[in-house]
Amino acid sequence: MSNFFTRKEIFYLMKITLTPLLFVCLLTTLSFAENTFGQERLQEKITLHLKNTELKTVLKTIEQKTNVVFSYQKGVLTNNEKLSLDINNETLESVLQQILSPRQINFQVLKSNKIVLTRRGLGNVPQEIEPKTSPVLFETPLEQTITGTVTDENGAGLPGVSILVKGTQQGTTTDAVGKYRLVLSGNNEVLIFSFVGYIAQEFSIGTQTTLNVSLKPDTKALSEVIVVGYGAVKKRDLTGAVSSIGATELKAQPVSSFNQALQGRVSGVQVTNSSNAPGGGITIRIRGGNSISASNDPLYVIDGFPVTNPAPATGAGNSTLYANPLSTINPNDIESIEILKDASATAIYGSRGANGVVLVTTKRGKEGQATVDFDVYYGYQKVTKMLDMATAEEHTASKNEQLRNLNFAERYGNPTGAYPKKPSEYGVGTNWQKEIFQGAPMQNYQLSVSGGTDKLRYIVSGNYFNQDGIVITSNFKRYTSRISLDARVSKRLKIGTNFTITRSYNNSVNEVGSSSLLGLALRISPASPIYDATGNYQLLNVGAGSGFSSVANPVAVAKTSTNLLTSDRVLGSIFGDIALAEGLTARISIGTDILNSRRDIFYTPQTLIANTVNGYGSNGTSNNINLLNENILTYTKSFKEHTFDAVAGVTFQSNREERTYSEAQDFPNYTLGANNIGLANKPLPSTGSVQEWGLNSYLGRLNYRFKDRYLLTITGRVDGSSRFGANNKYGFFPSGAFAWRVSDENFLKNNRWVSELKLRLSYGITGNDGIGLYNSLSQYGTSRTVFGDQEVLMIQASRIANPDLRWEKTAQLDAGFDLGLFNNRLQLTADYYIKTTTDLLLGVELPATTGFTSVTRNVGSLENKGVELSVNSVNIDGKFQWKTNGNISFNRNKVISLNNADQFFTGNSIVKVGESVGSFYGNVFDGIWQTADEIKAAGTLARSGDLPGAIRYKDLNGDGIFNEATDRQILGTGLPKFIFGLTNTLTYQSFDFAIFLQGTQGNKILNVTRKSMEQSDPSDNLLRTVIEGAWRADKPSNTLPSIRQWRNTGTDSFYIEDGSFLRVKNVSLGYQLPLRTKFVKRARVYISGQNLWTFTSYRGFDPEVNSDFTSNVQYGVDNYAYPAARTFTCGATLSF
Amino acid sequence: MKNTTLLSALLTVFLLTACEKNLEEVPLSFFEESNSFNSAADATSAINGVYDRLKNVYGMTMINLADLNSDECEVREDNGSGDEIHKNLFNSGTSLFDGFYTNSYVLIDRANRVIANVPKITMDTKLRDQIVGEAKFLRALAYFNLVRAFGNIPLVTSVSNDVINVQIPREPAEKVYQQIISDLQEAEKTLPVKYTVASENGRATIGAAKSILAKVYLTRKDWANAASKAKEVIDSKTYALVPDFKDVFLPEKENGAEHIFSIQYSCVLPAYGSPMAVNFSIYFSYPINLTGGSYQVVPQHAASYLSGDLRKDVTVIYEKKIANGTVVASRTGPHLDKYWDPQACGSQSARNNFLVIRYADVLLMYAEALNELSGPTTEAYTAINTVRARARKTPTDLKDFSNLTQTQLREAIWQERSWELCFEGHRRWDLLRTGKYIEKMKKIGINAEEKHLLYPIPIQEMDVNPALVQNPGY
Repeated sequence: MSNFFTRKEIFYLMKITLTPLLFVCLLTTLSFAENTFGQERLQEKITLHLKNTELKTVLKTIEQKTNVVFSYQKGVLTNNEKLSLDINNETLESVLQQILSPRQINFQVLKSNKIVLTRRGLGNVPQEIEPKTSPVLFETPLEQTITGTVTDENGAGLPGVSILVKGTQQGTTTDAVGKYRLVLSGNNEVLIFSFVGYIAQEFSIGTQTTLNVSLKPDTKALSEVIVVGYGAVKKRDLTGAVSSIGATELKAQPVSSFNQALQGRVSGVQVTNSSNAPGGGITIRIRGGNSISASNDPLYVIDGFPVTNPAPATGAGNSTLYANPLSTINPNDIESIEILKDASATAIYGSRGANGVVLVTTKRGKEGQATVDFDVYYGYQKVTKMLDMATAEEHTASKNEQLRNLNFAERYGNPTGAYPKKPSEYGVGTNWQKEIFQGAPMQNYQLSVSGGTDKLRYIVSGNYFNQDGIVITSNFKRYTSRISLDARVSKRLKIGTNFTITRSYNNSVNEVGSSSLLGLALRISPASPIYDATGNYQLLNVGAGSGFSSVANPVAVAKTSTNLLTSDRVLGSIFGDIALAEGLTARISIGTDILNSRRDIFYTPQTLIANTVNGYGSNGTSNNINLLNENILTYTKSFKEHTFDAVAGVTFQSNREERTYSEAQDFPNYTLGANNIGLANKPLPSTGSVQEWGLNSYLGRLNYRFKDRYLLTITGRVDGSSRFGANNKYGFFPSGAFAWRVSDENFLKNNRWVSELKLRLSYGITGNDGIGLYNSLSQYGTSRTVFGDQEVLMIQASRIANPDLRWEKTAQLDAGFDLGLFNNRLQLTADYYIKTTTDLLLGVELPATTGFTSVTRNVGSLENKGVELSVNSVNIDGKFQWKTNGNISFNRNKVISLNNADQFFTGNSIVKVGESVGSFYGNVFDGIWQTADEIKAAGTLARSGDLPGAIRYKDLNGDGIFNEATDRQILGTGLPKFIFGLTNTLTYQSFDFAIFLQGTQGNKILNVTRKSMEQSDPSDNLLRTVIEGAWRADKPSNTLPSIRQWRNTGTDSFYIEDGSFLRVKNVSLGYQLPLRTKFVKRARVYISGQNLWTFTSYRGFDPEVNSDFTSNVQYGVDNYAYPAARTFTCGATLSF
Repeated sequence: MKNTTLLSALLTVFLLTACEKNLEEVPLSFFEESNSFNSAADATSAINGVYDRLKNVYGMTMINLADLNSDECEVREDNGSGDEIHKNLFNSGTSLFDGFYTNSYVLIDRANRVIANVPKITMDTKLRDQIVGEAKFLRALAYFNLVRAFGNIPLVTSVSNDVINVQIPREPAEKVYQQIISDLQEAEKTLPVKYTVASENGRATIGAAKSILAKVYLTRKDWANAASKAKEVIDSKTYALVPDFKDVFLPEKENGAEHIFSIQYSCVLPAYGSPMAVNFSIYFSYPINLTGGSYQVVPQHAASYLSGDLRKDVTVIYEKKIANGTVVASRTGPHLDKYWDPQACGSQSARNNFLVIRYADVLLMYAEALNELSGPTTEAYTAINTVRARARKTPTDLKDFSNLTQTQLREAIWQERSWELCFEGHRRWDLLRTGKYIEKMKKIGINAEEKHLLYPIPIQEMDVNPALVQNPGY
């Protein structure tokens, strides 16, 4: 780190962050100088003239003359001696010293006017005991002690529960195991037990001396505090659309990354595992994708730090890896996740808010005795499905069939050729899927220690996570340690810190495309053995001249090559909260996010890619440092029926990324792999880059509440960003929201059914700065070329400048309501939104005469609108409890305008004005040509060269000619009509059971995987469907063409499939052990199953697929995607 | 009050220190327009970048434009897009044209940037002038290809960084030719006779400029200038025919006596390799690519060779004996052997250079220009007979020409060009300038009309540049 801080470029940020820190120190000193509260009472002057008066009466007289109240336990004032006093204008302190010290009585000011008396040598009175305000207190000093234990819904002791004598300030809190002891001064008192997140309960004491209480969680949850950008609000005061999920939901699933756990849990959030490889990439869209070429990913803010997710280090050819940078964050450390969806909530993040914001809050220490928590689970994963592929016999026979169809001699079984063995002699051959799939274990261990006093709270945790992939050799390992501290330095100053250090190892296989490990396994012939006759890995698919494509041996690739991504992340911040005045607090924080990764790739000559070059290795590194300074003021003020909460702040963030990459070929020895690529005889040109960005922001928010039921929020942020062109450095992002708590109006207040009703309306503008770096500048790129056989450096203009470049802008209107019925047993939240994104960044094509083909400009717009609904209900309450949470979200996406043309093509999709992005575009399959006569009769409706057995396509434009280019149409979209999730939780005594369903409806998948396996050219292995059902003269088919070599038609409706699915995502059963010893506070064991059943008509491995992970306009392409696993887990949670 | 003062002090400090520097965007690992041309090394790197663009307009692009769309080259029918080019079934959306057009103008822009910026650099003036000359040579070459392919075309000779006002109309071909001629004449003045360092193999020389200029004149039927430029090249004695025709194409013998200007490909890295071998071979030599290319020789051309013509065996083959002794036979027709490389370096790359112009071409141009100028002269016969002499097995096989009429010699030269220079990116241009295109295409059964004499302006360009007018018939 010192390397970075010595850099001049970074230094100025340090300078600006140090200045406010000096102020923190200054303020701290000021607050130390100030007296602790209440001491001034003792300086009050008093005059007393009393004769032969009992001590008790003396104290009572002092109470009357001054504004203090005495409090003491019975037994403190034991003797009945009488005193005579003559005091003239002395301080109360000296008076008390005179009369109490000789009697072995201590005094202590508790609150501003309360003085507690204790007897020296006897144990102190518990400090929590505060005297009644009434002076009657010591007139009737009856004592009654009550003890007991407060437990939670699971029977575990609840520490920190507040117990208050009704109508008084007297009370106590429970200790670390939930025990309490309270001295009461009268009979028939009523005790109130309350704890955040639980329903408060009242009990009449009578004469009992023991009272055990079990608190129930508060399902009403309106007092729940929701974290929003730069602050937190009570849920009842929220005006924006914010969804929240807690540790319980996060814990329910064995996932490597927290964003996976959002799937199906929150309305409006679509989560797709793009790669199911351990630590693999995830596509998240909050209320649809806003952008065509800029980022569509939400902003992730972890404990107030907006993190960036830089691309991992580069690797050599054929090593595609869609790593998920957020897998470097340990999900077990997370307390809650809030998802900010509407502009009212996200505008505070300005130019980064348009795609929604995910706020992650990690766990912090709580006051009370130290608690040690230990979580462990062990899981076993298995692929959910295998495809039914042809056997070696069938595949070689199909090659012969193809050759016959093309009027060539058969290749297999030709005694004079290279392959004299008949197809039948090949038998079943190699089942390549079996060879590359494995049963894979996963395990997770989390140990945390937390606790604290009112001065210092802490949590320290360590985590180890290890997941093998269901494809051989893939693995993800993570080690995390974390510490967070909160210290109350003085009445005015609180400081805290939060540090996480992670190291992760991602041992991956090439995940996507026809050369991915799965692609190789499906394409290679089953007639090819794993090992050749000499015992080495079989290199060529079957052998030279086999007629099968050059497909590498997947087992050789997996087992002899290395593809390792090592990442280190340090995410840390320190902050100080200073109480400047009544209601006014300043928070200054500085933080850093360092993410360094390194990728080592090595291919031995046992793999096709490195066979002719004698070993191929690469090292890539990526070092990323992000610095943040935030200076935030918050102010709260109420008078009469008006309440104001204001936030204002200035933040600075900067980032530097350094990347290097080198590769080499021709290794004399393979044992060292890529660890020392200098060993290679043929180093290839290495590359490197450094880039930086900076963001200066000024933000503000005002919450205004009138009569506690009319709520108004106004937010604004000005962002200055280095990414934008010189003419547009600053952007302003405002929003406003209004909410009305209808249920607090008189006409609904006492309604029997409606317990909560809030209407919300918001509008605002947010930006998207995910436009890459330096895009507004001209660029001259360097690379190399050859003269003769000599490499020389060359430089070419590679980008034309656009000084007008700026952020994409999204305006969003949201209208919603929160409704609670039947005492909030049924809660409903619904939102309607419409988002319009303008100034879309598009590569605008330039005439080639400019010397460039395109320039990035802000043109075009698109729209997302939708409805979200979520329901929470307690269906049955009591000993047996049944709760249901469900959500469903509909989003419609439409392109409104583009530049120049009204459409453009990318891959298999079209982006067209009036249509949704992600629309597949291609020819429409219309069966198979059956006879030569039919083809002749069809004339130009058939393609030239069509024979019986060829695919027939529709002439869509009706011009009587089938033309591959003009007879295309939209074949459906990869975006779903709606997505949903449903959780049912049942609890009975110590048992809990949950079932979580999740799914999508109405999305299409382009099954590229099947395309290669059903294209009827047996150069790749075929699906059994082709073997059995291909068109043959004697056995015609109207769905599959004959086994030949047909001209490729690009995208074709035949491979578009319905991607809707309903998945039993998770089922879990837990049991709270009745084990409660001196050490063990709580113990729970559970078993769970993940991805148990999927109901779908999709024919590939899994309908949850998005191989074009990085694309904003292609969704739902299955290009040999790493398949999903079914996982069984058992685990335990122990608290000590 | 104390707090308010503190607060404002605090805020003031924040705002003052909110340094604008955080928002400056200074590229740390690439150059901008403003700092790209500072030294002699920058000038060299920039001209290297222009040369590199040649690979985008030659290679298979030029084969497709000039050979596939002719009576010499065809593709197997499973190569649908190639078949469209060969059979005149293309349209303005055919991607070949967009790629060729775009890359030609990118090359021209990069050359314009050298011509505009390099003279401002403080450096050795000889080298500076030479680099500017190279840029002019390359710009002329690009325009020459464009004007032959499309006719009238936009003429850009300066650098503009405007991204809004980008509509440029087509200029008459005549005007473009004037620019080409003037660029080549200027290049001639500053280019060296030859380069001595291996890392300069492939740079433009005075001979290259003169040879291309001869071809420009020939195309414009400016026989006198064509003859005189060709003569200058011949008289320079810098070049000679290599004795064995086969050696003209061997990667081991590249940049030899006969090679006037070739685009450099190499197997130093697969990325620097050329694509011709894989597209033409019966069996591609790269160890793990077991299939051959789809480009073949038109059977009529294969059959046209006279017996005893050594060039036939190098040009047309039906089978190939590969390293392990196996004989691979073509199932679908004659293949080309000019681009065979037994040491290919990647599944798509081999070492073969692309020969833009070689000495045999100059000799044939000289013969043609003289014949047009003043009928069959001795010098004209000498030129063509030199080329024939190398091609024959025995002196009786391809006899020296003599006693022909002007027309007979003209036909003989044209035929000789076909045998000598086929598949080297010349045929369509030769057919066009000799007016034989439609006749020859019809002869092999391909529909050819007036409109096919020019290629269509790519639709992508028509879309973004409304100032363009499409060629008739498209």
